[in-house]
Amino acid sequence: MAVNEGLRQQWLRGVLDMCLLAVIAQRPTYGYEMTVRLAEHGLEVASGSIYPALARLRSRGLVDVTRQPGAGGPVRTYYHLAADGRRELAEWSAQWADFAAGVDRVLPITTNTTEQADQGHEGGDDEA
Amino acid sequence: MKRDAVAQARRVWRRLGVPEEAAREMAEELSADLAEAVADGRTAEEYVGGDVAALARTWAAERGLIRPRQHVGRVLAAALLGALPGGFTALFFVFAPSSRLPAFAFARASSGDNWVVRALSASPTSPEPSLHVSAPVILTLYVLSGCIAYAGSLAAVSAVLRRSGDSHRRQTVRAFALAIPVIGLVATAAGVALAAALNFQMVAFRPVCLLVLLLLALGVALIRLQVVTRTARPAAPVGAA
Repeated sequence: MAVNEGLRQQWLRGVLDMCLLAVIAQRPTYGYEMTVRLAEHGLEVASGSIYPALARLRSRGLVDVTRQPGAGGPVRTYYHLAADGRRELAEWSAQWADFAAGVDRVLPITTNTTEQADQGHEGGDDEA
Repeated sequence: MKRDAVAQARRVWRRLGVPEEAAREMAEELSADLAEAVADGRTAEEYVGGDVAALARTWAAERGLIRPRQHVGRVLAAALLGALPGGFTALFFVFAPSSRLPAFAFARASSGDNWVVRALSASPTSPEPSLHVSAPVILTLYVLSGCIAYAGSLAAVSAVLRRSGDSHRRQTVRAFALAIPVIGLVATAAGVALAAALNFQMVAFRPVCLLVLLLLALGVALIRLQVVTRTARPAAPVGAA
């Protein structure tokens, strides 16, 4: 099945903040590392999306920021989950589970209905 | 390209008025991440996504680092132009046509060639057929002119800010609605004081107008700046390791 990247990006935009919080919840991390860890799960995120999203989380007090000198390199910015971020992540996760379950419940119905309609057409063609 | 991307982002932040410390912090973050991406075999274009300016702009906006556009000149022009109809109405009453009576008086009216003045009352002192307008009537006309100027000014400022998509439109119009009468009174009082000091002679007309306009402009500009500054979102604090 061909992957519709545009569609995936559209879906990802809606859940990017939640995914970033989940990644940061595992351990304090920095922007580039987040893109790598998301990509390992098949979620390709451009930095053009990730930095504004991190800034948004920071403005809302869901993450804290520390700056640490890299090994001989420039200063790196690490994101840590704040207490409000942990609460928000738990709430979003529960809402997402509920939402995804609803989508999962609808999708088989749509598939079955389509199959039945196809079978009906085929049966009608046979009778004719 | 890595340096280009960071330099371009810094140019955008400078243009947007992002504070230097925050711009340096974001530039270092981007630079460090870009260096690692390039070391991992990715190109800077791939990592940044092509549109560095859009990234820089959105990033700074989400951080709350972009100073709101003040549009002081635009607001000022709208406020003054919107007040023009009311202002001209007032001037019309000030300059009720006469060449005989001393200029620059409350009721400068005679000769009967002005229908507004003619509709009022006749002067008992003028040797020629003339008209005299009582001070309360003239004051009422001035207040009416002031109201027209006030409404026109507010409407013009609101329209201009709406057209600009200004996020402080409501606050600005609300602040103007409260403050303009006060500014108007102060400017008028200052103008009358100057006119009195110059014995209400015609020579005082230009400096009085300039003084009133200057005070109005100053008041409008200060209010707009105060509204924009007060409602600007503070930037998030930076922690240190």
